[in-house]
Amino acid sequence: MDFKLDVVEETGKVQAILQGEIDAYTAPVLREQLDGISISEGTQVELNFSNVNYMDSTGLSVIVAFYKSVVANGGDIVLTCLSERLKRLFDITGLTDIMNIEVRKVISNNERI
Amino acid sequence: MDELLDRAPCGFLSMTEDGTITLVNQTLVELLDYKRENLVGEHINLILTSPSCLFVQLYLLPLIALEGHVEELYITLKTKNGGEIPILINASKKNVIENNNIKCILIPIRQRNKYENELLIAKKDAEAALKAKHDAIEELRVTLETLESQTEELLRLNEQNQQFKIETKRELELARKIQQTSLTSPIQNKDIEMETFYKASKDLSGDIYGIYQLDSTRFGIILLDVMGHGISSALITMSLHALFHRLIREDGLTVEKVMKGLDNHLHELFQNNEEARHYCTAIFLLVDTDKQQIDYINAGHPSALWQDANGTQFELHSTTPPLGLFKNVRFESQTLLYKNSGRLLLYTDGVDPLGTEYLHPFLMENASLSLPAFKKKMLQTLSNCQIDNSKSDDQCFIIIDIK
Repeated sequence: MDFKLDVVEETGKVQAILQGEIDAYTAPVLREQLDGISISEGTQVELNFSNVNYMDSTGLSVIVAFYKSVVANGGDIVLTCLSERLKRLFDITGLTDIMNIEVRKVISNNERI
Repeated sequence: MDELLDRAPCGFLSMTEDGTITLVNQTLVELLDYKRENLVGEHINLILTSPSCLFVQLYLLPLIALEGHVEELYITLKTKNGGEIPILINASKKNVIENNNIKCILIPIRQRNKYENELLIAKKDAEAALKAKHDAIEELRVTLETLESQTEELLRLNEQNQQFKIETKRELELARKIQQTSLTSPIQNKDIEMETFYKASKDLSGDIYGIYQLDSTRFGIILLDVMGHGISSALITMSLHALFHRLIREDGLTVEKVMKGLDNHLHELFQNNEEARHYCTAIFLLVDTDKQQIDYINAGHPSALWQDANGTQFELHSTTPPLGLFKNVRFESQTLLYKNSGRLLLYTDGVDPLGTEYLHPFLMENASLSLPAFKKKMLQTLSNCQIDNSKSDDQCFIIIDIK
């Protein structure tokens, strides 16, 4: 199962782009890579899920642990581009009310060129 | 000198017993690059290398004096320019025609030396090749021995693995039985009826439930799903099971106390090991058939569904995050008051691929089915649902008819 994390760090901003499947096999890799991101007071973190097609409860626990770590260090975190399926996972577990989550933007037909 | 001897294809010389050259043929003169007059009258040492001088003086001449002849002795001539020519010499003073002089035939063996050297080199090469072959054979023998030993080791390890596999399977089977034995039996009485389904995606499940009759009209029903599945999740389910088994029987039972107790337990369990942290989703219902009231807390669990006799549906959706994730969560129970009899469906997310959007109409369309028939139909629907094996999850559902 393939998984990749690309991290772009600028002053005060971190964009982490997740790619692949996040499950019991890949979650430890994700945890290790996320632990390597340095967060300080006011750091804006974006976790981009646009290329994540599957995530299970193990993956969810890693994301929540990272969320807690960012908040504990005074940063802000937003989860972006979640598919409806992934968003549902956060909805069911009630995490949508706690975490800042943006669903995947779908371009409507009217907006298509 | 005879013309033929003078031009013979070998050197010829005659010398006195003390080694003074008296006659030399043209072939030898040319071979040594001298003029004939420079050789005749000179001692043979003039045309010998130093070692050959010694050899001639100490061995060749005494031997001729004793035996009268020598054959195929190897000496080295020295040319005028200092060049060396290996030769074989035959010498004799027998059959003397003119006097007691020694007659010598000298045959250059430069080519033979070259061939012999080549033969020696070839012999060395052959010996080296033979040695390399023996070394290679030895290496192969050692490799073969190693391979045989490794094969034996692999077979032994394989046997060990097989044994380990058999023992692990036996242990897991026993653990699975223990886990299933811990599940409480569905309650069947005049007020309430139940059917349950419990299936692990692997040997052991991360799901667990408990059904308790607290008194004549009150029932506690809890369903938990620990993240992940397999042995690690199952261990936590058993620890939670022991706890809710106790909490539900405590005096002054409230839904909040049970959920808070389970939440605290998970935080305590993983307080020093964030990496091993497991959370669990849970729904706990306290059903009072006398008050026709269901108090519940849903902690991050898929919504339970209630449908009354009129077909009115209600979702018991999540009201707090999963247990063990966030500290200091305030647990506040929700209340569902019902007037008519109805059916409750609780399930874990292994059943969720059907989705609440599917389960709502499913519950509606099959309301007239008896509980066993309803369960059978749910199982048929689940088995038709194509779930990737690698992503399959533990499955558990509880169907409750409240009369």
